[in-house]
Amino acid sequence: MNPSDEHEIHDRARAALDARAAGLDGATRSRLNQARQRAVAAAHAAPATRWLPWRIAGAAAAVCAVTLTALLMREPAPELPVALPDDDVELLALDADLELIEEVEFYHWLEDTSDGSDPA
Amino acid sequence: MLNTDCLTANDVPAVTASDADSSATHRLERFLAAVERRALVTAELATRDRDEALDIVQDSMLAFARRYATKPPPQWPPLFHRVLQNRIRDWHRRRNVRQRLFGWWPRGAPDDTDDGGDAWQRVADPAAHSPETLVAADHAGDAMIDAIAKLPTRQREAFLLRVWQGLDVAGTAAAMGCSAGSVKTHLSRALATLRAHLQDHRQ
Repeated sequence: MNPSDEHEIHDRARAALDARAAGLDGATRSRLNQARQRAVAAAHAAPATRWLPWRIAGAAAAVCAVTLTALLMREPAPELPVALPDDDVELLALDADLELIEEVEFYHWLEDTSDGSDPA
Repeated sequence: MLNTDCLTANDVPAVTASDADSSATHRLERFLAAVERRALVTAELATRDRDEALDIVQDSMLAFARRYATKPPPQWPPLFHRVLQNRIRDWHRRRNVRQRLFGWWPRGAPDDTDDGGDAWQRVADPAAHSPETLVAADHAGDAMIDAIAKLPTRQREAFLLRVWQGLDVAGTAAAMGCSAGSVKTHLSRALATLRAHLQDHRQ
């Protein structure tokens, strides 16, 4: 594009847009003025609410810190007095069936001994 | 009384910085007074509706004052225009959604409800068709305004921010939320479109 064309477009655009902005009617200017006053008032009101998210975050962090401290300072749960060997644990688990196991073993012995000779 | 028509957004920081006695409130008010008319014209070019444009500018000024009034004044122009452009885009999105949802409706209404609340808003403004307005429509400047309004959104944003608001490329990029290269591309295309449109208008 020719630079002079570009300048001409810039100049004409600025002139037209400036004329449009300068020619606003009184009612519109009044509404703009009211909007500006509200915005300026809001800028004053903003500091009270500006820190609200940080206050909420601070309160949440304080609650977390208190909870964590309480958990850490709680007395530890008592440990089991003696660690049981694995075999004993297995026996404890099978405790209810001990009689049956003994009966089965008895019948195995009876079967073995009755094959050839009389145990008596 | 400050003549706001003679100020550009870039002039404001210099004026306010030199005024050591002015309060933060006074600085903010002067800045908003300097940009509000141009902001309204910018929004009106995008929406082609004065009331919608006024709502957009009011929302933009409120949001800017709440969020960025504590920023250094030299940063205000791109920040304000960023807020303004975001509000304009939000308006376009909402309008597109409304058209998708209610475009099939014969009377076009979600705004056509008979709740009576906005009855005065629907009354035609006689000033919009006054003889003065019709005469002004023949003014040569209106052809340029019309051509700018018809630009694609991003091209119009780049053109107005660079050429009219006087932001530099970096400030325009910050206001548009894009790269400096994109700003140059949009601006170049906008100028080419305007040139072609104005040549057609001359013929």
